[in-house]
Amino acid sequence: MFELIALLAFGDKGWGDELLKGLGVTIALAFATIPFALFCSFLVAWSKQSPYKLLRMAGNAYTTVFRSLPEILTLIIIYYQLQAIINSFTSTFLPGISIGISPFIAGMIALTLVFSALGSEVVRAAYSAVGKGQMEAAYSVSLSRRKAFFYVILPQMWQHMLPAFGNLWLILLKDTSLVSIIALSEIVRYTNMAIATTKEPFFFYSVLATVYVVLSFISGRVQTVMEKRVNKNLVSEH
Amino acid sequence: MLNTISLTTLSFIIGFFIAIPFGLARCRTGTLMSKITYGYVYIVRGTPLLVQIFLLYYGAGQFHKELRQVGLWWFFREAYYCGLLALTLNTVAYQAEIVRGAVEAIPKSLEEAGASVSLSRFQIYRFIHIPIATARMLPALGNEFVLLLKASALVSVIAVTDVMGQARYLFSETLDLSVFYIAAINYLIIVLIAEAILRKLEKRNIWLATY
Repeated sequence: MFELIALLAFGDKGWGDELLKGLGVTIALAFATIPFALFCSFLVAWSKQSPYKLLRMAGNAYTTVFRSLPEILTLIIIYYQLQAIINSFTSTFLPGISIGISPFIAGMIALTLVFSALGSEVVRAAYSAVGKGQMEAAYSVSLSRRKAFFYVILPQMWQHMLPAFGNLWLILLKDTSLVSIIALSEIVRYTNMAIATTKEPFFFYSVLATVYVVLSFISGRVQTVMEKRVNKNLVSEH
Repeated sequence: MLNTISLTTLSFIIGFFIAIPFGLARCRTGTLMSKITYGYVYIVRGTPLLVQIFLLYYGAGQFHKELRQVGLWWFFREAYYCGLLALTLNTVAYQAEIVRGAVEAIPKSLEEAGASVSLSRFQIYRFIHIPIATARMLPALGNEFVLLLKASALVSVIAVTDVMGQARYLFSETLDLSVFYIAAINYLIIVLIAEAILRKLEKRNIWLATY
């Protein structure tokens, strides 16, 4: 038992510092993805409600496709396809230079696509939950379209979106583990390296699972606090 | 393709039958069983499926001597069975929550109404709880089925040749990206068919679900 725990030590002998470094990359990836993912969620939700049929169809197709494809497949397609595009680009314009796409960026793009396909539904539901009356009320006190959205609609939408986005955040956090497949050195990959040297898969994967449980526990706590704050500041509109 | 479908449906159905007692145990708050099942659900939902698969497959490989003694090694040796087990354990946690949600949402008044026309406890269960809970669960279960179908692509990391595994193998042989697009179309078609069937099923029971 003690030999096993010693494997988690920091420094040259143990794997503690490597795992911690991997954890950092995991968390960085999740946090780097979130702003883009939220932005795309709004964008797709907006396109699904646009008066133009083509935009609506594009929005719906986007959701259907990225909701149906396995995350790992999306990730692999993005990674290899981007690499292929960049390769053909450099070979025509910059011969002799080869640029590799970073798995971090590919992971960010793929996770953004997956998150926003689900997130756009959340945004749409929240938008309709706030109701048309609020928009009309905002117009009636002569707010512009943009002001009405940012000052009246959006603050109320948070209340409805927070629980669902909390769930999506957990899904995102777990999906970052998939990026280890395209060789990003996050925590799963470091764990695999540790196992390759120490031959202790059961122990290391248990540690890994514990790390993820702790991460989702913390996320759950943060979510509860945020929900309390949002619900305190907003009076129910009905 | 066959592996993907068989893995998904098998683990979904086995998972459902395990999830029913789990979900019912979760309903009885305060009991030891409810706490244990809650812990199980929490751990499974808090960890990525990828880690669960690795833990089961490679973790079991570490104990192959012991497993051989117990006579279970044939099971854990096969990547397919390990993948099936991981998917089942995973979906049990999610489906248990669905069962719990559906059962807890049945209003007490219906039970009392049943008792008032002197139905027995079993009859109340059979004719009130089960049909309503089933109708309530259907949309969520359908969602879970689609999620499980997507999740089943992960077993390709332990070299099970499902759609994804096949695509990765072909890609490593030919370096032709189009195999992944073909795999994508495969998944899209399966999911769309599954969703169409589910919508039919939901429509049949919609009056029950609106109680």
